Amino acid sequence: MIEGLFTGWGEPAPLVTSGVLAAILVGVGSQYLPARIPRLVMARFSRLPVLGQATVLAFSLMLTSALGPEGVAPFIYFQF
Amino acid sequence: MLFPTATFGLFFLVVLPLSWLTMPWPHRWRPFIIAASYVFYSWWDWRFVLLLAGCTIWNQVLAVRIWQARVPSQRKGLLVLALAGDIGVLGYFKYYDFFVSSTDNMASLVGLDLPLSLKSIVLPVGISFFTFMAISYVVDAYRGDFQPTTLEKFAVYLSFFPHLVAGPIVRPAELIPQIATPRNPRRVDTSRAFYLIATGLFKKVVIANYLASSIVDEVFAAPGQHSSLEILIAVYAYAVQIYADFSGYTDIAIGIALLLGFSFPQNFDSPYAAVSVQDFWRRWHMTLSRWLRDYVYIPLGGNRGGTILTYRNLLLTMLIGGLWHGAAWTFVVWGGLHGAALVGERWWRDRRGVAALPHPGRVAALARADPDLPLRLPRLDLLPRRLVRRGVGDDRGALHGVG
Repeated sequence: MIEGLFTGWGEPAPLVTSGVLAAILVGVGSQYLPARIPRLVMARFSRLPVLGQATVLAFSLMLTSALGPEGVAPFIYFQF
Repeated sequence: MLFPTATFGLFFLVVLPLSWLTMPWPHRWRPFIIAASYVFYSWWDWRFVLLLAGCTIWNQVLAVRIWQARVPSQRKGLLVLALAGDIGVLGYFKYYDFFVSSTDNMASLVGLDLPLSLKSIVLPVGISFFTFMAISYVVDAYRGDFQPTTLEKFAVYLSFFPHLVAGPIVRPAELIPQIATPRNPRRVDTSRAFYLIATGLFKKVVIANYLASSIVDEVFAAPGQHSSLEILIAVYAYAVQIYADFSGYTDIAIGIALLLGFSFPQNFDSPYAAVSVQDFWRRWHMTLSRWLRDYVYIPLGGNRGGTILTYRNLLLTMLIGGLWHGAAWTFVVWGGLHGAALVGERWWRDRRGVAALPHPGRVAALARADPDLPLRLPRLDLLPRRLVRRGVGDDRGALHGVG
């Protein structure tokens, strides 16, 4: 594994897709969001009427289902 | 029963309304939620429920005896007995094969052939989490910090299904008073709960699962068949995957607990934006960090015994933290690296009077490259094969196992 980090430069990298890079960017970038932004989103969501909240929730669940791969992998921390 | 599955959805669809109906009357709610939690846990293996129930009774009996005992030596003896039981059970299920294979390997290095055999013991899911919570309960009773409650309330504390299998590790003083008082279903913060559940699902299903299936699993399974760029990106992808996976789980757990009327402590606070290793551990798996601080580091002496003893305590605490994460030498090395980094950082601070590298660019590089490298270490084949445990699957397999 470590050796492979140094010996395979210049070879094709089909697994490094824009989707993978975007997911890494979102994962790392979200750490640098100011704390007030999630609080603001949560506060706005809280102020929505019940129907609005249900719509946003249904849409986010559909989005999650559409974007995620099929099946559910076990949580990594379950082994601990 | 995994949170983002239809099975759990159906389970929760039954449990939530019944919980709301009974929560104004704790004496009705508590037996109901114990039953629901035991059903949830039995979904993995019904025998695990016996272990959980046994752990509950063992710690309740001893915590009450500790609280009632007047003679210090008797209190200490009871505490040692309780801890020996807890650590013994955890050691048997989680570390038996690791210690047997390690002993066998070391003996064979000096030409000894010991008649030791592996048992391939099935690891009860969540045992590390509920054992640590049980230890909190008896130690807090010993210290006089928390008076043991009734068996029923303690059973809810230990088995409450939102935290049962992967935390957060909740303190008795944080949860038991909530369990003891009536909850008002009209005062449940549903907006925050749904927000946390939705973001947790997104982190788990979209970010973590996508990265695992798109690059991480493939590259880590056969690194020799991939280019350097793929390996490098897979290493970073795994760092994001493990964060999204665990913090996503925690968000869902906290959200579900909120829907049931209970508040859990925060477990993650943007750990990869940390400016030092110490800061990282204040932000990553926060409830484990404070558990290690309060029940390992401080009892070892903390920073009260001078510089060298402080360094020793930091190293020992992180080695134990590493071993808690998994029964393999890679996890021990992982804990040792974190301990060494904390010691180095403390030495630097004592010498220079600063806790972290000051330049923003260097801070960002440290935050990305240093703290999360050891998190990835358990998945890297860095150690000689003879040091990796034998017969119970290698570390890579262990990280994928449900236990």
